[in-house]
Amino acid sequence: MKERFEGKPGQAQSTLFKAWEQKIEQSGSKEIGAAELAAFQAVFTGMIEILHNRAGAGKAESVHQLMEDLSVSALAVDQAAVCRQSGMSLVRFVYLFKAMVNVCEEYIMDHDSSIEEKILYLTALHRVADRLEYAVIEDWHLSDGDRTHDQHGTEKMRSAIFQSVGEGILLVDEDMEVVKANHQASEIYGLSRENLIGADIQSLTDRPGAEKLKAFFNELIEGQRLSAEIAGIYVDGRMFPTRTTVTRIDLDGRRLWTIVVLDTTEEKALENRLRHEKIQTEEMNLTLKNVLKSIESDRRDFEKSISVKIKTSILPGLEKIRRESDAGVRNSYLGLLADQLVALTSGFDAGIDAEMLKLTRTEIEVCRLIQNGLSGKEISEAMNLAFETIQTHRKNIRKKLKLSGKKINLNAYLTNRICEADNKENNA
Amino acid sequence: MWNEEYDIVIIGSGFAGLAAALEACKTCSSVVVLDKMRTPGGNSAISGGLVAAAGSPLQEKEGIKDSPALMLEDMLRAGLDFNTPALAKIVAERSTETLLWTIEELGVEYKPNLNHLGGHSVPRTYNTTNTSGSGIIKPMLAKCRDKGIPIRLKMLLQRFIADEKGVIQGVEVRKGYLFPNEASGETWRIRARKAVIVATGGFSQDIKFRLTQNPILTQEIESTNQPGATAEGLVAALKAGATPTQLSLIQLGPWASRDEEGFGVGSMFSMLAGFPYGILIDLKTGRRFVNELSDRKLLVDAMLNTGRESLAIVDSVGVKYASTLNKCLKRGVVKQYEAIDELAHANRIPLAALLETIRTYNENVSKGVDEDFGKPIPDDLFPIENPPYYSIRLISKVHHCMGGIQINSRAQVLNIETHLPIRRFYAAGEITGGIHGASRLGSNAITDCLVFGRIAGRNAAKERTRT
Repeated sequence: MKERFEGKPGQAQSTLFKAWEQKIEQSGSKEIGAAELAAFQAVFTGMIEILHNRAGAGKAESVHQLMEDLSVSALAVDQAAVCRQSGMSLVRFVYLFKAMVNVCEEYIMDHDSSIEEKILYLTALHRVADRLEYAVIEDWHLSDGDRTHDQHGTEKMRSAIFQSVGEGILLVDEDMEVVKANHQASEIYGLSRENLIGADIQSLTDRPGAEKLKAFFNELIEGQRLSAEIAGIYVDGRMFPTRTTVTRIDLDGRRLWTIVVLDTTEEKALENRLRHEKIQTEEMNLTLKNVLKSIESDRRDFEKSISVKIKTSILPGLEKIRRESDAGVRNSYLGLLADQLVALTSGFDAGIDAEMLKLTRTEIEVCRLIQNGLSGKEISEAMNLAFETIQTHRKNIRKKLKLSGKKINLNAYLTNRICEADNKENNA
Repeated sequence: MWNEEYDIVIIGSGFAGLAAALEACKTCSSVVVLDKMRTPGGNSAISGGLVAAAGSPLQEKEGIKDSPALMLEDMLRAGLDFNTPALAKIVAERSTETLLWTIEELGVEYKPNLNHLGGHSVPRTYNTTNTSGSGIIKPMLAKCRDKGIPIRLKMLLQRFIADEKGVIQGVEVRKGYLFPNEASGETWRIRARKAVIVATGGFSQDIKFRLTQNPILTQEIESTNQPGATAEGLVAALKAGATPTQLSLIQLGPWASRDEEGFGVGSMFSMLAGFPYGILIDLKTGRRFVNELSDRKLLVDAMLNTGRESLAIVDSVGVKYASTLNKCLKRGVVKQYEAIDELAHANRIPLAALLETIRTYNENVSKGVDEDFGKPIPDDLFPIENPPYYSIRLISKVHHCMGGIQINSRAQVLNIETHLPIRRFYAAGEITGGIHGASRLGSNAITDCLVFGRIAGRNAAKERTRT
C-alpha cells in the first residue's frame, strides 16, 4: 500500500476521486459544481500528500502535533474559502469532506496489507482529516464573524442614513410615545434626543394635529401611508406648519408608526407669497377687464352720438344744400358740412359747427356778410331788407349758436370759426 | 473685526444662561444667547427638575421648619467645607425667592408635595409636574421668545476676545457648528457692548478632560449628562484668565440605572421612591450597607469602593412617589415582582439574608429609628410589606462638576493673577466652582444656576454700554 500511495500517487488519487464522485452521485445529493470539484480535487491531493509524508514515514502524529504545523491546514482552508465564496454551506462542505475521508477509509480497508499497516494508515488518515476539518470549520466561523461585522457596518450605515435625512423621523409605539428619533426631528422640535424619546407624540402638535394623528393610527393598515398638513410645536411654544407622513410597521407582534415630519415654514411662506401674487394678478385682470368694458361702452356712446349728429346736423345740412340754388350759400353749407364730417371722426367737439348747420339760408347769408365785416346797415342794403329784419336775424343767429347773453362779438366769433375751418382744411 | 454686536452675549442656553438672559432683558433690550448644540436647554432640559428651597410655601403648608441657615449648614456638611461660604450662602438665602420667581414670572408648575433628598436635613425639594428640567426650560424659552431674545443654536464658543487691558469685548464662535464635528461652521465674531456671560455648564461627558482631573473616571464610567457636556467653554474661560477652582471634584450619581443609558428614567425613580421609601442592598449579601438618604458622595463611595452591585427595592406603597414608574417598567429599568422570593430569585440575591434585611428594616421603621445606618424615618415612611415589589439595578455615573471657574458674589469671573474681577465678564451655573464643595446636594444645582444666572444677568445689564 505504501507503494500505492508513494509509487503511483496519481493513479491512486484518480481512483479515489472517481469513487468519491460516485458516492456523492449515489447518495442523491446535489450535483457538485465545477469550482467545488476543482477545490476538492486540490484537497484530496493535499491530504494524500500529507498521508504520504506522515504515515509513509511510519508514524501517525497526534492531532496536537499536526495543529502546530500550520501548513497542514492552510491548503484545505484556502480551498474551503473558495467553496464558501461560491455559496456553499458549511454543512455541505463537511458532508463532501466526510465522504472523501470515507472513500479513503474504504480504499485502505480493501487493500491487502497487514492489519498493522492498515491501522497505521487509518489512524494517520483520521488525524489528518480531523485536523483539516477543524481548521476549515474554525476559519468558516471566523469569516462568518466578518459577515457579522459587515452587518454591524450595515447597521451603522442605516443609522447614519436615519440620522442624516433632511426630514425629521419619529418612531412611535402604541402608547403614542416616541421610541426613536433622528437629529432632524430634534432640531425641528428643539428637543434633545433624551427629551424626545419617551415624549407623547401629541405634545408635539396642537389638538387638531393630535386628532389627525390618532385617526391615522387607527385607520392605517400595514404598509399604507397617509399624510397631512398639521401644526408642530417648538420647545419655546412657537407653532409651525409641517407636512407629516405616517406609516404603520408591524414588528414582532407590536405595532409601530413611523412619522416623517417636514417643517414647511419656508415652503408655506413661499406659498403665501405666490398666493399673494396670484391675488394681485387677478385684481389686475379684473381692472383690465373693466377698462376694456368701459372702452367698449365709450365706443358705443361715441357711435351713438355720431349717428345722432348725422341725423340732427349732417342730414339736414345735406338737405339744405340740395335745395339751395345760390352757389355762395351752398359753399358756406358745404364748408360747414366738411368741418362737421372731420369733427365726427377726429373727436373734436363739433357742437358749435353743428349749430351752424341749423341756420337758415337767409341767416347764413347774413353771417357771411357779418364775417366780411359789413355793418348792419350795409347788410340791410346789400340784402335789400329792413335794418330791423337784419337785427332779428342777428338775434336768431346768436340764439342758434348759443351765444345769447354772452359777450362775444358775432363777427369775431364767425371769423375765428372760419379761420379754424380754413386751417383745418389747409392742414388736411 | 466684528460680524455682529449685542449689548450682552450669553454662552449656554441652560438654566443659568436663560435666567441671565431673562433678568438682563428687564433693563437691556439687546441680549443674545448662543448654544453649540442643535437644540436649546443643554443638560438642564434633561435633568430631573428638582429645586431646593429653604422656607418655601410647601414647607410652611406641611409644617416643616427650615431656614437658609439650615440649608447652608447642609451644603457645607455635604461639601466637607470645601464650599466658598459666601457663595453657598447666597444660594441658600435666595432659594425661595428664586423658586417663587419660576412660579410667578415663568409659570412653572410643580407637584403639590415636597421630596426629601439625600443629605438634606428636611424635605425641601420641589419637583416639576413632568419630573423633568424641561418643565422649567420650556417656560424659560417661551419667555425668551416673548421678550424677543434670540437663542442662536449651532454656535460653538472658540474664545473670549479681550482688549489690551484684558477687558472682555466679545466672543469668537463657530457659526453653523454641527456637534461634534470640529471642522464644521465658520469663524464669527460677536461683540458685547456691555458684557459676556459664560454659562456653558460642566464637563461630565469630556472623558479626556475629566481624566486629567480624576484618573478613576475612565470612559468605562458612563455619564448622566447630554453628550455636549464638554470642557471647551471652561478652557476658553481659563485662557481668558479665569481662576480654576476644585476642578477635580466631580460627582457621580448613585441612583442611575444599569439598564439604560445616561440619566434616563431610572434616576428619578431611585431619587423619588427607591432611596427615600425603599432600601438599598448589596446583591451578593442581600444586606443594606448605607443610609439611603446620605448625600451622593457617601452613597457612591459606599457603592463604588466595595465593588458592590447595588439594587434598590421599594414596595407598592413607596412606589407611588415614583412618577416615572410606568416609563421605567416599559423600558425594563424597573422590574415588578409579586413576592420577595421571586425578586430574590430573579436577581440572584440570597433569599434568607434579604428577608432578614427587610424584617430588620421594617422593625426600625416601626420603631422610628434606623439603628443600623441612621436613615431618617419620617411619618410617611412605612415598612416594606405590600406587594408588588419593585427593584432597580444601580450603577454610578458621572453626574456633576462641583469645580469650575471662580466667581465673586456679583457673579464676576475672577482673574487668576490679580484675584480681581475680569471686567465685563460674568459666569453662572455648573461652569462655576466652589459653591457646592466636595459634594453637591441633590436639587441644589437648579437653585444655584437660577440664583447666579439672575445675578449675572442683572449685573451685566448694569455695565456701561460701549460705543
